[in-house]
Order: sequence, then C-alpha cells, then structure tokens
Amino acid sequence: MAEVVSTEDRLGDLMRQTQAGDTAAYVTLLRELTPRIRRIIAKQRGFAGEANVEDLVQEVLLSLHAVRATYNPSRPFMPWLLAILRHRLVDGTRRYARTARREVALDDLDVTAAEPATNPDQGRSDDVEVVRAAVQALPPGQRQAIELLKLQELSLKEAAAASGSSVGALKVASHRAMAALRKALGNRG
Amino acid sequence: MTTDTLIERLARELEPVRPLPHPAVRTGMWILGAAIYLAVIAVPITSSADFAANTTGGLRFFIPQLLAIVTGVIAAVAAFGSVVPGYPRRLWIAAATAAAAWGASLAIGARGQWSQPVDPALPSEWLCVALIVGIGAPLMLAIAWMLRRGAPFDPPLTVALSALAVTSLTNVGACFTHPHTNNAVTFVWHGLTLLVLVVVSVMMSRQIVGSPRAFR
Repeated sequence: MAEVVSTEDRLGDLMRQTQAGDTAAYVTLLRELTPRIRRIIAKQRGFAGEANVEDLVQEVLLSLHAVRATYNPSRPFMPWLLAILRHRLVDGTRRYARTARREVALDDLDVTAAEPATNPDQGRSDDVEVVRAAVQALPPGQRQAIELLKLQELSLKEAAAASGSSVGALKVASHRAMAALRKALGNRG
Repeated sequence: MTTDTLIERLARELEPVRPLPHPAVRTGMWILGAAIYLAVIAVPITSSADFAANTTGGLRFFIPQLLAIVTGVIAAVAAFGSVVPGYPRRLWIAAATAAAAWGASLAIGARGQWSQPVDPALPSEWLCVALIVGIGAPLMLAIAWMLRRGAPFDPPLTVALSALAVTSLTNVGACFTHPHTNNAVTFVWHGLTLLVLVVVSVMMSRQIVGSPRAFR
C-alpha cells in the first residue's frame, strides 16, 4: 500500500514538474508511464495486434501532452491518466470496428517495395526524379511545407518556427501540396 | 514513428503550462461575469412598473427563477468538469434533475392558467426568445472559450450542459425585463426556446469546443 502511495506521489511530482516545463522530469514520467499504458492497452486490446496497441500507446501520450494543463496537482495522478486512457481506448475501439468493417485481411504477400530485388534501379531512379520534379514544380510556399514537414520530418511547430509561417498556414500549404502531388503523379501513368 | 522518438519529440515541444483551476472555481468566474453582464443589460431595460408586475407573482414567479439559477450553476460546474479527465461525469444527472425541477415548478405554477386569454397589451413572447438568444450568445462564446482550455472528450455532453447553463441564466434575465402573461406561457415559450438552443448547440458541438481528435 505504501509503495502504491509513493509511486502515485512520485508520478504526481513528475507531472507537477512537467507542468512547470521541466523536460527531464517529463521524459522520466513518459518513460515510466509507457510500459504501464502499453500493459493496460495490450490487456484490453491485444487482439487488435501489436501495431495497433503501439498506436494507441502513442495516442495516449499525445493526449496526455495536449491536456497536461488539466491535471490538478493537488489530486492523485493515476485516476487522471486512466480517464485519458479510457477515452482513448473507446475511440480506438470505435475506429477499429469501423476499419474492420471496411477492410479484408489478406495473406502476407511480397510487394514490390518490400523486396529490393524486384525493384529495378532504373524504375526507382525514374520515380525519384519524377517525384523530385513534381515537388520542384510546386509553388514556393507549398514546396517549403513539403520539404519541412515530409522530407525533414519536422513537427508543425518546428516547421512553423523554421519557416516563419503560422501552424495553420503550414497545414493548409501541406494539404494543398499533397493534393497537387497526388494529381501530378497520378496523371503520370 | 517509434514511441521513444515520440517521447523525445514531445519533450522538445514541452512548454510550461498553468494548471487549470478547479471546475468550481472556473464556474464561479463565469457565473460572476455572467451576473455582471446580465445586470448591465437587464437593469436599464427593466422599468420599475415591469419589475413590480413581475414580483406580484410572488412564489409563482420567484421559485422558478431560483431553480433556473440553480440549474445554471450546476450545469456550468458539470460542463467545466466534463473537460477535466477523471472529474465525475455524472454531474449531468444533477443538472438534468435541477432542470426538471425548474420545469415542474413552472408547470405547477401554471395550474389553472392554461385557458387564460393572453393579454394583448403585453409584449410578444418572441421578445423573450430574442432576448434569450441575443443575450445568451456572448455568454455561450465566453463559456466555449473557457472550455476549449480543457480536454473535450465528449463535445455533445459538454456543449449541452453549457447551453443549459447559458439558457437558464439568460431566462432569468429575460423574465425580469418585462411582464409575462402567466407561468403557462413562460413554460411553453421558454421551455421550447431552451430545448431548441440545446439541440442546435449539440449539433454544432465540435465547432464550439473542438473535436476529441483535436487534442491528440
């Protein structure tokens, strides 16, 4: 019992430090929570497969990050976390049910992209060139959004800081760029 | 992206945040603002003759107003609590019970009034509808703005409670500003207005407080 209380207190302390902006405490908290979250999700959603469980773990961490201001430092930490986890599980279950209705499972098949030997160098090089040309043909704002978000894999916040644009403008530019690329590459063959 | 990479990225993006005050405190702030706002709007447009005409209704007038205020306060606490993970969700039952008691007080007060003719000298009840909607809109915007700093797990519930809180309080303001024929008329017109506003708000819940996916 004392151990439960001390764990609860420690997690609460780490969350308080997180709210104050302590990065080290935040990393410690998330690393400590991740196996617990994974265990709970795997217990309830193990049937959905390892990848789905890990997706849900990441969704819980993202939610925790987004709503960290809602934690009341004078209250226990675990009920707060479990409420977030419960809601994410419900969302995940709904999504899984929707996907399962629409998708048909196939046997594992070798696909071209997964088998290097089946990918001729010529074709791959052509594809890269075509994609590069399509990216270059984009308007400057859209090209910059693609380069920062998709090629450099920056977060929206980092990309906004790097480009001087707002997060909203980057989202719009990225969305338009992807639509333009789909259209350009789709018309190719 | 691996979970370890995600953790590193989240840590890089970490900024200090101010913990959200307790739902009761946030409710207090909103109610205080709403009371001042309603007083500023209602006092100049309420004549002493109208006020006297309303208050002659005695308990038939005051008990529904009191219950409307109680409904507004409980609904606001429940709305602010609904965006805090782990806060009891069942407070909506208390809000619904208070709303039912408020409706019942009007219905009981309306006994024997259903067949009374409407006094043509009194202002149309559309005035009440306009007042509730017009005065309530800024209050709804204010509570929606406050609720966005939370975790909108269940937008329809949060918005329904907010709309109930706003409509209950603005209903009190509207009732004081001009005389009504009787409780029966108030029950029908104000009740329908409340229902319509709650339903419309729920239909727009994701626009009002945001989608649950938005805080991922």
